[in-house]
Amino acid sequence: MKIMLLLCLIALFGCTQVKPWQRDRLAAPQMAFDTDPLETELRQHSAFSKEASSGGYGGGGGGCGCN
Amino acid sequence: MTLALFDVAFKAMGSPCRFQFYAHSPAQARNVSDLALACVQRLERKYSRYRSDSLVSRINDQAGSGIVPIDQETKALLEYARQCYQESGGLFDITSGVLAEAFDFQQGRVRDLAAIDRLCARVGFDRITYDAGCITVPAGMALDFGGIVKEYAVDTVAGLFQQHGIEHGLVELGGDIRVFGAQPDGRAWPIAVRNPNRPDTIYRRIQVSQGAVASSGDYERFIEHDGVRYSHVLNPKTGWPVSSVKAVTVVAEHCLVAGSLTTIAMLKDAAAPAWLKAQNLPFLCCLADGRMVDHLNPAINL
Amino acid sequence: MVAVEAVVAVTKRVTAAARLSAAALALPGLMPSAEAGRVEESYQADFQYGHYAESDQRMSVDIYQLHGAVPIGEAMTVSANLVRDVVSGASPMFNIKQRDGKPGQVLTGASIRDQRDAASGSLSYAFDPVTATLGGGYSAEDDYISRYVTGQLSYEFNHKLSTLTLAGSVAFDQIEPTGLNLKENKSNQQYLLGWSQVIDKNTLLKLNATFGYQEGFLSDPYKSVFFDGRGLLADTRPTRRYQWAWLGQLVRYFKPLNQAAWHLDYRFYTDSWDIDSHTLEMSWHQPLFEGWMLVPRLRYYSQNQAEFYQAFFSADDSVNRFSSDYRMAGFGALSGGVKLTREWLAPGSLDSLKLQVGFDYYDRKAAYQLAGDNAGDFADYHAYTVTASVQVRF
Repeated sequence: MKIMLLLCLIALFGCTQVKPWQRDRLAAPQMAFDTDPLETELRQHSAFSKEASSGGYGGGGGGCGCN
Repeated sequence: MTLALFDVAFKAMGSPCRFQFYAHSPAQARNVSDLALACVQRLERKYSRYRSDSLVSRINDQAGSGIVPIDQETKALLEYARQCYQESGGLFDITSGVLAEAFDFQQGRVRDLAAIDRLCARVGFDRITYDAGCITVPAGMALDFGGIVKEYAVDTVAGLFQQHGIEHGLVELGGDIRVFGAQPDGRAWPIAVRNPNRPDTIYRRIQVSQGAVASSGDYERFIEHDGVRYSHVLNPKTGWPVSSVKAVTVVAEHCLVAGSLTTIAMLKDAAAPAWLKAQNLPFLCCLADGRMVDHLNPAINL
Repeated sequence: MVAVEAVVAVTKRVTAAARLSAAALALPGLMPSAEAGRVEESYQADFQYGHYAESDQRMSVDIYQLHGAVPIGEAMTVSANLVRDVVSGASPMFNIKQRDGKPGQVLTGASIRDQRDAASGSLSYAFDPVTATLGGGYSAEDDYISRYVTGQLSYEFNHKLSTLTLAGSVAFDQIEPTGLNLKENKSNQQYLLGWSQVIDKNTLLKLNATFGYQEGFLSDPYKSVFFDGRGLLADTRPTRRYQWAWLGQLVRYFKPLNQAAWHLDYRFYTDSWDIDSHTLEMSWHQPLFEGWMLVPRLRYYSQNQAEFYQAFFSADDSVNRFSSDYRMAGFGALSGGVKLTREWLAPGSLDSLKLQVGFDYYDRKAAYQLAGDNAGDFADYHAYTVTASVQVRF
């Protein structure tokens, strides 16, 4: 089911034509998925120690006595 | 941040060239344009047929006598040339330069009518063998990247500007143009398309904010024979220059592709307008009798 | 994949121009200059200080982070991180049943002080179109030691419009609580399958799915559970936990708004302890003038309680798994903040210099929870975080 969905999405996006030279704006620093890794680390660590959820974002690191 | 317009004009690859772009400071502008200039000069040194120390001259000097090592970039250019050769049914052939020996384009006349058949036998891209490391060119044959390298340089330099944070500008090498970002206020760059019937006048201006415009034509170099005007674009199958098309302009994402399309269209001769239409790209085709097939509209929206 | 190719073939007009364009992309000068996963070309050093403080004189933490990245050749990047957390203040221990029958929170008395030092490093190697990253880390506290290794593979395809990521990490932790004659272990594995996509020239999308498996001593040795009429028992949780999370991230560019970018994240999480959570987060990255950037951010989080959670238990509750840890409770949290950045390009001999200050406010309330299975507002609190950082590239 998931594979099917993935294939459909690839087929869908396969048609959109974003030319390499149009990707300059996608390379802008504010367009990075993670614009500030250090701040993200602090924020995620804080959430991890106060909330029950973890995962999703990837970059799974080590444990901590805070949780 | 404040942006200022910089305009750098110079001569390279035997043509007037120009970079126009917006940068944050004169130091940044100078830094990037120096890199861009060095890039153009590097490609000219490497691929010019007119320089005895170029890689192309070395390959041609060794024709029939040995193998010459080539690098990745040259291999990639050969691969692209092969694609052009296939797409054009063998008309776009980087080995067809030897045919020019029969004509004198400076004087505009046929030099040696009898030589044409003999020269045709020395043309044929499929007789060149190369792999990732080496190339072998048969005796009597020669490579000429003239129809590819200038356009390739335009794209490469445009990419270089972008990699160095320049977002608004254009690169022009001998009339072939690549725009890599609208002006800072969002306006497109006006690009003048020459009138092939009266080459010193502008046919029309088109607005481009991203993409390339390349032209091919008989503006300066042509011959007249038995009252017929021939362009300098030579058909490798007949040995003769083409005569039905005076000039072609194509708008595409890459200058390299736009340039190859104009050349292939010229070689398609009478079939040029129909073939161009099938490419689904904006173009202008000026026929030998002066008629214009103008498909530059609708608005350039690549 | 055959079906996919067929779809693409039908949709695209395959002209000579299209084939030549595809061939042109193989040339070194025409390769895309901007890709999703690109290795840094310059040396980088970052330092960040953060101060976190909870309301009512509860816990406060000072965080010091140091990060450095060094390119080696054209394809490799080595990076290293050092973190020191200094924790002080009180934290909740257990809940009692008050006279009115409602729970009340009991905090640790004296101010505790704990320090955590962590070091981690990674090596990433790009052999187009694949980027491989290997990393590991070590974290030490008086009573807790953690070691982990992690690996990641990213593959770019579809003219570099798509990136597929596979990642995995394993952590081994040792717990030796102070004042208790206890030595325990736990392990944590996490696997990620991710896909990011250039949707159009203004939009990026990322979808991640992660699976986690924890095993061992998963209880909190400093938390107790109040059994009314029986007294206190130690926090006791299952020894296994399976976790699933799905994340969607959308980033969109607004050229007319001075090249602003909008980030929208949504995560759904569920685990074998019956905790489900929703996280919705968005931020707006607004370039101002002369290198200034303002980033406001808003986040909403909601979780329901673990199956073994109760604020307190009664003497006749026959359970063998129980916890009253406020983090296992049902609650919601609203947080928001703003960050101001000033970046200088090419100051002196540097490539860039960036200074940042940020403020974040976190408000946790049982009442913010989506579904109402919470045990009341006794554990509500709020906290703020201030950060300041310097980033240098050279």
